[in-house]
Amino acid sequence: MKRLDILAALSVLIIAGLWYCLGSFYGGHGKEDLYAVIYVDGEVYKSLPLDRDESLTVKGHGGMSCLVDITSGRADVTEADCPDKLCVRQKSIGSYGETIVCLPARIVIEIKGGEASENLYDAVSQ
Amino acid sequence: MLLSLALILSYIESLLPDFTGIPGVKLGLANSMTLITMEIYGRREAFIVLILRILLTGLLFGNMFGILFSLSGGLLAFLAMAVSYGIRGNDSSFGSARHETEPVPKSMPDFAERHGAGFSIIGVSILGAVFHNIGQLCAAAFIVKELKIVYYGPVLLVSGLFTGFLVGFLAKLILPRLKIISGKGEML
Repeated sequence: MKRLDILAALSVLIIAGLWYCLGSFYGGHGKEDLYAVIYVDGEVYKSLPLDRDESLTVKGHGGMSCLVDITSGRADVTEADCPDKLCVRQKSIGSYGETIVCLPARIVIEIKGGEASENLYDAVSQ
Repeated sequence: MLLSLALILSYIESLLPDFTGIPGVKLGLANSMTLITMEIYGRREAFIVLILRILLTGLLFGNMFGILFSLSGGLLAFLAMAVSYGIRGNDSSFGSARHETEPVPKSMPDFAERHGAGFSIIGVSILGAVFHNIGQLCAAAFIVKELKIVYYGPVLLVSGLFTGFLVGFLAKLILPRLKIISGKGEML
């Protein structure tokens, strides 16, 4: 390892650090930005912002439904009348990309960022 | 022969599981062959080996689509490596598997004499790895048309640092032994 190597390596590190700071400054996933998007049978059912506490009963396939709770920026399924109740047992989700799934009712809840949620024209209200 | 070694390395690497969940983080072992070719045969040959390796890897082991990514990373990496190799000075890490008649590139006569400065093969490798990742990041952002991918930048840079170091170290180990095997550092 020569001096110039170390110089190059340090430069890369510094640039990476700066890049990261710029990223957090401009982009950072603030809670205001995130939505819990609820899909039933593959179609968008409703999109709930994570920054507002809310409860919603989602009617899924075959008459089964689950209760989606949003508290403190996280979404969770607290009750469901599906046979396996796996959805209830799944942990709460709060970060981009995380999901909760109820297979029998064909309900999928996914966390998405702000921009993506603006295109949800087919939200069906309860 | 170095080309086939590079292909094998690519293949073996493709078999490895994804150690980090991060897309684009890979060892890039085959680049050690690019470095070795660069030292023994020169940059032009290294370029040819690189292009062929990318094309053949895509054709034989991977998908054609991946070739686009590999090319964008590889070309940018080669640019960085070629430039830094030109600034290499007099350094034993290159293993002197080449003729000793050309110790220092003409481009750096006095500076190298005075400081023994310039990059070692590890530095060349690091820059290669880093720029490879940058190139792939840009290609990905372009193809997916999603600028947010750029947030991956810092992670890829740092990973390039590490993998570049490892691969460079590997090349550094191999080069002097090639000289031993071939006796005089002549053509393999």
